[in-house]
Amino acid sequence: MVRHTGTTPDTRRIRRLKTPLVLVVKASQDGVPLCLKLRGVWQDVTLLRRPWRIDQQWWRAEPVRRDYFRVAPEDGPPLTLYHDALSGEWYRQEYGS
Amino acid sequence: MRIAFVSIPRFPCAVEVLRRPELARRPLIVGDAEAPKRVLDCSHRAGDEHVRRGMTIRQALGECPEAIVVPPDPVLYRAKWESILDALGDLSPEVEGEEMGCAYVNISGLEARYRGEGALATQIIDTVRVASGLDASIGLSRGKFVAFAAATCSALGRGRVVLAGSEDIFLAPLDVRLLPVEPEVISRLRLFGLETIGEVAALSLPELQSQFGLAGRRLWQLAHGIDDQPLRPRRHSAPLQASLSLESPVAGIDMMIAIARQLLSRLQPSLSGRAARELTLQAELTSGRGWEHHVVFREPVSEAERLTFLLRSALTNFPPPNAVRSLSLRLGGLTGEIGKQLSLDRKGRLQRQLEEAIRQLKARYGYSPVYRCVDVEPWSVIPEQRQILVESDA
Repeated sequence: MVRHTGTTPDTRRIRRLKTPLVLVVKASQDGVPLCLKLRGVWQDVTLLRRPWRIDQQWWRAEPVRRDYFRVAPEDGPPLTLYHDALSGEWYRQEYGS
Repeated sequence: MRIAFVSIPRFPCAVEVLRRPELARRPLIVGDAEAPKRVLDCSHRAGDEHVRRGMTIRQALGECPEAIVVPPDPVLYRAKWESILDALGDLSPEVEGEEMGCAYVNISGLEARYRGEGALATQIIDTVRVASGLDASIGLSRGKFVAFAAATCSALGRGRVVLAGSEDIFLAPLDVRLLPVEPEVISRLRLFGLETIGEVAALSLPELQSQFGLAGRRLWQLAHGIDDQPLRPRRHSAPLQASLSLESPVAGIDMMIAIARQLLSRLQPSLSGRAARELTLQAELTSGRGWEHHVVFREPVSEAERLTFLLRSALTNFPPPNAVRSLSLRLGGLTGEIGKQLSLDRKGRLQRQLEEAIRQLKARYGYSPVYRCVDVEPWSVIPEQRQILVESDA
């Protein structure tokens, strides 16, 4: 059995890519984003493509259930955001492979 | 082997007082940088006021408010010390410069030439004085430790000879703190009530070994004046050096890099066929003091490109604290050129440059801030599970 070293492991050596970032979003009754807060400013968004859903790992202790949206804010480049159906939070995340 | 230990205690302070004798009137602290944060060295008077090396300047001035703080001049200290070692090298071919202010000299067979070891000690003191203007205390004995202890016990400008066979008698009344062992071992000796080396020598080898393990054997030997540590003579290799005096002081780092590259290009023809293991940059600051930065390479370097890269890194990461009047570049530890399997294509060259950059970053920060992307589950629909960034070890 490996003994506990009593120290925090060095986390510098491995990092995740495309980590989601929390975003403040106002959505319609049916869950489609209407506007979001970018750099402290509220901006209306336009839906660029049909939303898609990910429902994965429901067989595990930490399932993943997200609704993704590709949107274009008034000022700035398009971005991908998702609504976490389990926590109710909105996140921004790079999605492309 | 008969050994002489040359001791110039508080070497940086001694050099500063030699340069400005008026500093001797007050307690003196030599800081660690142009805007000093810590104590590099302090005079006896400052030491008596509980100033210690390594403490912050603020703490030191709290202990000794009347002390004068001066910035260091590493170039001058090194020059003085090198001149002392060179002069000692004229007396004996084997000289070990342990650290600035401490040197061991192999004097076996020299006593006949100088009519005894007492006269030889006087000769060494005179040699150091002529070479540097500084006074040294000298200890002569068999083995390094007893020579060191003898020098520690003698006054500045005096020598002390410990005759063969009388080492343990000489060491007996001395304090255990002189023993060159771990501070923890000294503390434990004191806990056992052992204050003098003679008290340690009175114990048997098994008794000391049962308490201190391997260190116990060394303790027993040292307490009996037995020290078989070999003398490691300094290597004689003439470094390549080039200097440039500037018409007006230069403060910009880009300008300094350009000057350093110019100096490097001057040294290149002399370097051909050889590689350098270390690089020293020295500058004369507008304050009149010297600045020095020393880099030891992990492997000998001969390529101009790599030397330029290392030079630029050294100046960018550790720039002189203010404008410089002259710049000097020294390549040391010269050795034969080492062979490497190189790649002919451009990609190979880029790879080598990248690996070198990562090695340098890792040496500076202790870890590599460069990461490479690794596929973990590239097929996953969950973006954060597809790839991870792994620290690149080059």
